[in-house]
Amino acid sequence: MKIIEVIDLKKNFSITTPVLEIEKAVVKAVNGVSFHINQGETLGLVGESGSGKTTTGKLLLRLLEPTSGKVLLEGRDISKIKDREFRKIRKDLQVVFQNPYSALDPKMTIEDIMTQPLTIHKIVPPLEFKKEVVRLLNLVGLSAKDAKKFPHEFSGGQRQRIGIARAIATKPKFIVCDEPVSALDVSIQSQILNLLMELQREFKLSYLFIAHGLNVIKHVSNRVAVMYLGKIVEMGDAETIFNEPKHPYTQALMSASTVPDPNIKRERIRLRDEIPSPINLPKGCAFHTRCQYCMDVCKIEEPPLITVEDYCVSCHLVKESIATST
Amino acid sequence: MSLLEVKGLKTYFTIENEVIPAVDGVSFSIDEGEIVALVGESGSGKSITAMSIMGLVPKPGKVMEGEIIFNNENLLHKKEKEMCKIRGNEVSMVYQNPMSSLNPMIPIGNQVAEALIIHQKISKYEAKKEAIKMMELVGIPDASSRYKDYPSQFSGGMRQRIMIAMAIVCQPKILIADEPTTALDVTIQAEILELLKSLIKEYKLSILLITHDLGVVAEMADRVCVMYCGKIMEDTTKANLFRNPLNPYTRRLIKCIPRADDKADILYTIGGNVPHPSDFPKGCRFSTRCEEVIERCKGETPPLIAVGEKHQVRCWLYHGEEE
Repeated sequence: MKIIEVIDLKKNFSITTPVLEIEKAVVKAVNGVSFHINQGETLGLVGESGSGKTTTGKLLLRLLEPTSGKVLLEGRDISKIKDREFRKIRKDLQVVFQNPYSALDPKMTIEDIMTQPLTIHKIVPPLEFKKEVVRLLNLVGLSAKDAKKFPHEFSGGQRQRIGIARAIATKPKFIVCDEPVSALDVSIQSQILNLLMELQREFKLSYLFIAHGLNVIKHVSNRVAVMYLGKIVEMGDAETIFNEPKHPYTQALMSASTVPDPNIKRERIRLRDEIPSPINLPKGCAFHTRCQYCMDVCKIEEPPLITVEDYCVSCHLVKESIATST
Repeated sequence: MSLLEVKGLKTYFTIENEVIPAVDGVSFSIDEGEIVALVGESGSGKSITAMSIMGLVPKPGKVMEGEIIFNNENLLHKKEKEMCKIRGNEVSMVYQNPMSSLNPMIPIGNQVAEALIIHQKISKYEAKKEAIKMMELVGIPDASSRYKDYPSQFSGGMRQRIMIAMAIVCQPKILIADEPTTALDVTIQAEILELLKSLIKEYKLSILLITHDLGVVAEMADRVCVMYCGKIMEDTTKANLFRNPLNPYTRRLIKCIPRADDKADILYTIGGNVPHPSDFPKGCRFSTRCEEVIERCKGETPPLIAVGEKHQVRCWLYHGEEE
């Protein structure tokens, strides 16, 4: 069952001149993205900074209004629903942020922080708030006596646990995990990843998991989408994407990641230059300026997204190889 | 003969009569042309060790004890004026965040040339020529025309290259790189690591690489020191660290990382949290989280025990096995 479906989602930010606010340029942060996430499934989203990962996450939560395109939550277009109506649905969508240091209000106790979503969405009657907070804290591996503490009394890993407890307080169906372990130490990272996966099994949660650590993505994801300059260039099974990446960008990304094992030596594909600015997107294939296989056609024509069952890729090179194999 | 030797370094912070032992008896050495990685979690004292070598420990921190031997001289006995001649000239440093370590108001060329003008008696014209050469070497395209550009006109990866150019422009013997690639994307990280490797060949540079990423260690290091709560837990070669880690902390740290070839559903974890420096446990500092803890660990701090060639471990489990 599809929990979330995204159809041709676009988000432009306009850069305006100060004072007169005349539009100077348009940043195409998300430029036509389509995917879906099934119940109990994790879709990993990878890409360099500036590729539009976080913007996509925000659009899915309706923290940003899309310029065009649809976000369907169980078949309903959430961008078309009125604000008042949407508040009832909001509890189905939650988020875990990257930085557990800034995601919690320093002047509120953990109990206050956790009670807020319970009050707003009327999850349990007020008399049971205390019991529910304790239940949630236990669920993420904290104890009842932590409820009266303030965020600064916890370590980074514990704070991230509180962030997760707050996210699952409303019994959501879908959680956007925006780099939830990037700010944590290795030994704590594995604790949080285990917790997230345990909760997923227990509550059949769906995750959009945004991260730049490829080893982490491989571990948690069922499917992986690779983004480059606001577009998905390749998406498919985690196995396929990691073992047989077809898009030159995915190949380069995989080869650039370091392996914690000195015996594995990988052929490194070097990328020329750095990611171009999303203000002036290159013509044709957005990746052609850095691609080692760049052909003439890449500079003129944008490659179509070729879909074979659950797998899709957008590259002229792959189009040829698929055409010849059939 | 080692180029730099740190012996029993203790750097403590005193805050409101409370003593925080950030670095507590750290000893290691770096040979010529060697890359030594200092690995550990946040709060383990990696960066403070580096700052102590540079003589830049932030207040209220103070080096209490120990020796830092460089060129047969103890850097800790040097006056501030003498340290200024060494810092950036013979020992230099690259910081984690290139966005905040460059002066936004000064053209980058001038920032690269500054070290030359201060440390070496050459004219401004020659310094400029040398700086452009160095910028080309670290891979800044069209260096001479970008000499007058400001840091904001460069991307993150390019700024880190400029930082490296600044650090090596005086051809130092030792480069301390404090998490040089943590703030960068994987593709850019790969390029910066390549650049550092090529510099070692070219200049016989020695590098003290501070990182928490064991992937970077596997890629770069010759030798590795694993730090935990201000102490070195294991000091060994890279091959040994990954093939035959001995200290329980090191073993678990390596097991914790999700690996691309590993199919296990549940990741290995180290229970508990890193203890706060104000209440480090008595005895071995890992004893509160260690699964192989024995009675002795809780009372006595284990010494670094040599268990093989170039392999030292701080753990009572290996006591009596030393060679």
